[in-house]
Amino acid sequence: MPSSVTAPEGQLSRRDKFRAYMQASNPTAPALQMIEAGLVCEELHHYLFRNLAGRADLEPGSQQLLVGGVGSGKTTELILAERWLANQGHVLPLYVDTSAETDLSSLNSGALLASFGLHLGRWLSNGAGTHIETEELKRSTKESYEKVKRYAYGKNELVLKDEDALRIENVVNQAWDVLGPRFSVQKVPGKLKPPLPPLNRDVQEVRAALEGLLAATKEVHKDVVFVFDGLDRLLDPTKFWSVVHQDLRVLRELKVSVIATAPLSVLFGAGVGQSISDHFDRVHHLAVIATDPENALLRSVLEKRRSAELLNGLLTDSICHYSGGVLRDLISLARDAAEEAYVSERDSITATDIEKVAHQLGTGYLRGLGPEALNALLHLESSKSFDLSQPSNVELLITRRVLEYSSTDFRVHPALLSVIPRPEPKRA
Amino acid sequence: MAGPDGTGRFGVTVERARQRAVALDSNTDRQLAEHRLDAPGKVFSEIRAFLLRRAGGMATRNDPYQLLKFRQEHGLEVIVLGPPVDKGPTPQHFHFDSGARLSFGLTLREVERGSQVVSFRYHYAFPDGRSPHFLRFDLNDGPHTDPLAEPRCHLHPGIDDVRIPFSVHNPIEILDRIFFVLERAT
Amino acid sequence: MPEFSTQPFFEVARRLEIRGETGWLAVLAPVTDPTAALDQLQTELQSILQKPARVIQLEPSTFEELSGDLHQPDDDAVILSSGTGLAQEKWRSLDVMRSALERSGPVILWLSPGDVANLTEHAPNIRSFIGGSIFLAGPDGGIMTETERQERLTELSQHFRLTGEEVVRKAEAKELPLEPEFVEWLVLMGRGDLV
Repeated sequence: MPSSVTAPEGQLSRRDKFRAYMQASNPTAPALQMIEAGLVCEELHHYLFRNLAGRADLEPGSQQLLVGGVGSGKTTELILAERWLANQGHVLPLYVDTSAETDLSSLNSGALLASFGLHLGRWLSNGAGTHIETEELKRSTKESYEKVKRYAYGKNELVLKDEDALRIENVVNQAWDVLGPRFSVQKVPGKLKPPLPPLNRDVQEVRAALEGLLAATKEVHKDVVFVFDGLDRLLDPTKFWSVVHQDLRVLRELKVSVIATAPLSVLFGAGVGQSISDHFDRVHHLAVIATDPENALLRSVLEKRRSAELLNGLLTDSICHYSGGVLRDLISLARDAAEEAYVSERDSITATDIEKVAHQLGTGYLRGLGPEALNALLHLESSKSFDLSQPSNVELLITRRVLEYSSTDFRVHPALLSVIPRPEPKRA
Repeated sequence: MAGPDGTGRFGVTVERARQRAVALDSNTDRQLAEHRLDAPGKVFSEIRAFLLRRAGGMATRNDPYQLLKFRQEHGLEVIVLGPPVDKGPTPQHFHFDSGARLSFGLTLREVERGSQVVSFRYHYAFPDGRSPHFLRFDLNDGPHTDPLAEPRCHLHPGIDDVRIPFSVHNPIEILDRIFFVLERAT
Repeated sequence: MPEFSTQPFFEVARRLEIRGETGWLAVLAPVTDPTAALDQLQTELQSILQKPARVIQLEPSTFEELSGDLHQPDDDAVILSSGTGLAQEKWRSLDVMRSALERSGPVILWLSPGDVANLTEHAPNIRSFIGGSIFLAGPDGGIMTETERQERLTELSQHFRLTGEEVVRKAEAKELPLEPEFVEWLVLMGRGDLV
């Protein structure tokens, strides 16, 4: 079926206008797509991506962590950093969203190294390797890549059954069809095939192969920067550390700069601090954007996304307020308000639309909160104090019911605050 | 070429015309018997989606959610938009940017693997001052005794007593002609 | 306790359509006959978005299965059904793999009412993608009201100068005109057996 009837020349139909706005205000669009479309405010976090990239470039083997809540713009900063590095010309930035490639929840140590090796090997195989001059290096590069692949994906090995184990020297050279049923095929699992029980394999096993690939890379580029995204999905900090601990150590030894994301729980809550400084040279906290009196920063985000076509000034402030400064919530509210106006047959966004979508967002945050959590939120609102030693409070932070504007400034998400049931006032 | 009856050529008498009209109606019956649409609920959904899309690209406001209605009983579903008989513009019509308006009714019978068309009427009224005043596509519930004057499936070219044979169409195909041919020419 | 907005399925589909046939949202299944409701949602999505709509059960799909299913193809509409509800651990796993679930076509989470809390508690990354787009399944509309039915019957009577009883008698005697208006008339009177 054809799409909408073409509007008279010179006149954008109502549907076309809303469609264009929606496409620019898509909170789930891939970050790279939004960057390439020019819809991202690079100065939003004071050009943090340049700090990340600059340090990674100048200090090979440095390790930096980018920590932020859900929807704070971490991926955008990482991709901006990757692009900045690529533009320098002498660095190979490798951006990998590990969570897109493999099941992080069953990940174990060595997996990040495997992922790194695969991406590096793939890059060398896809044309970059043609710049390698010596045949010896080409051959060893290929071997290294094969080793990494086996490490990553596992292999099939012939394994003798019990009673034949002692005859291995004689048997190993005989044909399969002679041996037949005395052999079984045992799959030796790799690092990236879920679900598997954790393997206790030394990550040093893959180090030599990675060194081989890095040697080839140095023929083409001097240094590699590995940008790991997705690790912030490991909301449980113990899981995060179990995955990164050994791998990051090896990468540092290999002089590969690392920029990685991490969940908020590594920054807040019990038992933090020491572990971070042991592993990372710099930790950057992507805090929630505080609303200044003019909402200037948040407004700039919406203006980049063509908000002026359907939103006036006061209404923009309302959206900024209800977002609490969470970037994805900001863009979601702007999009949802337009959607509400569209299905209600209005030509632009009204205050009613914004109230409705803020109510929806707040109701979503409200679900699942028990009386204790509600009390904690109301206590935060009234006293401005928030005890991070309480795991339940860290949970509120991770699930974005509470927003962190700095290490000491915590507030209830405004959309949630607007729908929290208040206790009945006590009668005198 | 015209010639006497029985010579293998088309006859010019009204009796021969009626015979040909009967044959045409039989063909229509056969097409209808073979013609299968989706389940009535899905047809309703498709028509509404079509109208929603078209309405979204028009300057004139129409709300297909409010305009399009159905009623089911005895395995039959009636889908209607606008009044049963067009006597002038009403808020229940679908209004076009040209000033034209549309009303229609479609009756489906639920059968195995979907539904069959029992009857339909699509009345497209041109803007005031245009000639013809309207076009109406009708499918009757059965053959008329005089299929020459009233073929089972026919088009009224602006005159109630004139009916030109029309072939069996899917409801969306008729709406296609109304929205993308008639309206664009208006 | 505040409640989510109720939306008929075609409106849910319409929202996805104006978004550019992309995006995430959640629909809470009705308590009565959720299977028929899911079927209806699928129908509306296909009609309005003009693309296929598939249902994928979240349980017991693995990472590889889900990742594969969601990208083959990548651009149709997919309804991810949580059935009668998912365990907390499953929600956490899904949340961790959110990047692997991202696609160009729309994703609709079909949730049991109790699962919204689990979504927010244990899958904050997915919840962030959904934002405030959580809707209660509402009646789909289109059913002719009794008032509307009576109005149509009155119009038909006045135009053709016949009462309903006369129409029925003529239909029984096989003397009723064959025009489509009379077919509709019989159905509206509850006498579709005479058609």
